[in-house]
Amino acid sequence: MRFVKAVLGCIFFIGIFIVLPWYVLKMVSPEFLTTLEPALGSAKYIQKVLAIIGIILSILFTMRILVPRRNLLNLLAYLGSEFFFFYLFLFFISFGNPANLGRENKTIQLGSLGSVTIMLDLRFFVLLVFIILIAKVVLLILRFQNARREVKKAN
Amino acid sequence: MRSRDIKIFSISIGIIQLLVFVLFAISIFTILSSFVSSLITGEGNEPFAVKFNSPGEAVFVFDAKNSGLLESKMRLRIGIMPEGKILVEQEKSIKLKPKEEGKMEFVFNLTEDQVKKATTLQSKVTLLFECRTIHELVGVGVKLEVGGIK
Repeated sequence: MRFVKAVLGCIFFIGIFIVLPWYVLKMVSPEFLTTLEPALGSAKYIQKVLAIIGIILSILFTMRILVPRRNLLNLLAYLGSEFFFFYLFLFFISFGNPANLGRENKTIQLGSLGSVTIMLDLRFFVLLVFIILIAKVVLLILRFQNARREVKKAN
Repeated sequence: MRSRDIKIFSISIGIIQLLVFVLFAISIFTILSSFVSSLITGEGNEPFAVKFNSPGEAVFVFDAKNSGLLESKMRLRIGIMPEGKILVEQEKSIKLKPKEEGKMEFVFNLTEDQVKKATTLQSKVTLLFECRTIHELVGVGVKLEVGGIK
């Protein structure tokens, strides 16, 4: 049952992060992607990053399911997943530049006419999600300690 | 900490996560819908109405509209920049409740010399429009620098 769950999880992550972006890029015309590139960045780069995240999340999910909860590897897999989801959130709200932490300024040059700068400020949500991440880390550590204590008690 | 406490802690985090997601969705909807509706459906289906009362006096009227679900603050800055330096600049902001509309009026009184400088080919008009919500913590904006206002 655990093995089936792990395989289904892997299929889900690969479908969402690898197959879906590949399919979307195949359906959208290259001219449209070139138009969006100054504002959203290179589609190939986004596809590559999503594929890497998808593979890592699949591995971490398999570890979470197959390794017992009292094992340190299980805790590390859970923590890794949480950090990767946080990275993914930053990646999306910063248009592919997670280092900007939710504040993004994209300038599009209009040749001799001038320029347009699009500004997005979502730092407040980055802070909220970061607080939730810390709370989740604490929860996972407590859960891990509890699982170990119960095993010790049983022995 | 007992298993029961851990479970309560876990459920609390889940609820907070859901609330943050809902707040995120509502605020994004508010700033984007207000931003788009203000820029697209102004007076005469244009964001700006420009009137020239006398040579050198220009009146810009901007119709702002909050189509979102939260209170939002809109800020507009208009400037004229000949030779890379700001000649005239004005900034106004307005707070709008959900589904409320408001007007921002800018009156520029330029001297003859300023008009000459402003209408050179190197002259640029700068325009900054920003829409913020949740006590100005979240926002979206656009800055335009357009040349050749002759």
